[in-house]
Amino acid sequence: VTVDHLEDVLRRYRPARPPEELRRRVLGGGPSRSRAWIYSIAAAAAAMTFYLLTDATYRRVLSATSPTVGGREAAVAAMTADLGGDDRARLEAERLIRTIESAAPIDARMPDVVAIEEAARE
Amino acid sequence: MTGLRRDGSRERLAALYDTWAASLFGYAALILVDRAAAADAVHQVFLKLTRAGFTIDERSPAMAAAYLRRAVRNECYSRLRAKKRSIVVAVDAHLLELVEGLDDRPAERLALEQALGELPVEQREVVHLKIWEGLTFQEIAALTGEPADTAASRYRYAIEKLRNILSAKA
Repeated sequence: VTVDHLEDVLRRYRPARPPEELRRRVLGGGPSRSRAWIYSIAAAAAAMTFYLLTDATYRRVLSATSPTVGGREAAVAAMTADLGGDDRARLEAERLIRTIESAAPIDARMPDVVAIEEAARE
Repeated sequence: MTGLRRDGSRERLAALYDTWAASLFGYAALILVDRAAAADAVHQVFLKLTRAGFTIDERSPAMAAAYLRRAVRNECYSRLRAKKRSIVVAVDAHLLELVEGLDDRPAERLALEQALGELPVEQREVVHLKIWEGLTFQEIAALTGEPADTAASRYRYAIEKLRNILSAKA
C-alpha cells in the first residue's frame, strides 16, 4: 500500500451523514439527548408545584366560601321544612345546599350575568 | 467578524443546518469516533448559535465555516476531556460512507474505520480535514492553533500509521 494509493482509497469514502433525527432536533430546538432527562425532571417538578399550589388555593377558597357546620345544618333544616319536612325533602335540601356550595359567589360571576340579573330585578 | 449574523428565523437556521451539518457531523464523528456523541456535539453547537440568535452570513461563508468548525472542535475536545480519552479502541461502525457510484467493499470500509480509530485524535482530525474537507495545512493550522509544519507532520505520521495498520491486516 503506497501513500498515494492509501489517499485514493480514503477518497473513495466520505464521512457518514448526520442522522435525520439530528435535523429535527436542531430545527425543533429540542433538548440534547444527553440532557433530555433534566427537562423531564423540571416538568415533573413544575407539575407537582402547580398541583400543590392549586390544591392549597382550592382548600382556602372552599373554607372561605363554605358555611360553618352549624350554619349549614340550619340551612338544610330550614330548606327541608320548606320542602315538606320528610326524608325525601331532606335529601333534596342536601342536594340543593351542595349545589349552592359548589357554585361561585355572585361577585365572582361574569359581570354581564350580574348586570342582567340586576336589571331583571329592577 | 465571524461570518455569522444575528437572525433567528427558522428558514435561515434550516439553511445554515443544510449547508454545514454534514461537514460538521463528519468532523465531529471522526474526532469522537462515535456517531451519537457527534450528533450531540453538533446539536449543542447549533443550540448555542440559535440561543444567541446567530445564523450564517452568505457574504462570508469561509469565515462562517471556520467559525463553525472551531465551535464543533471545541465542543468535541471538551467532550473528550470529560471522558478522558483521545484514542478509542472500540470504534463505532459506519463512520464512513462510500462515495456514490463506487462499488461497495464493506471489509475495506471496516478496516479503514478501525485503522482510523487506532490513530491519536489529533492525527485523525488532520486526516479528516485534509482528505475530506480539502483544507490546506495552513488552513488546518489556523483551525487548530498550531504551526502548519505541525499539521503537515501529523498528517504524514497518520498516513504512515494507517498504511502500516492496513498492511498488517491485509
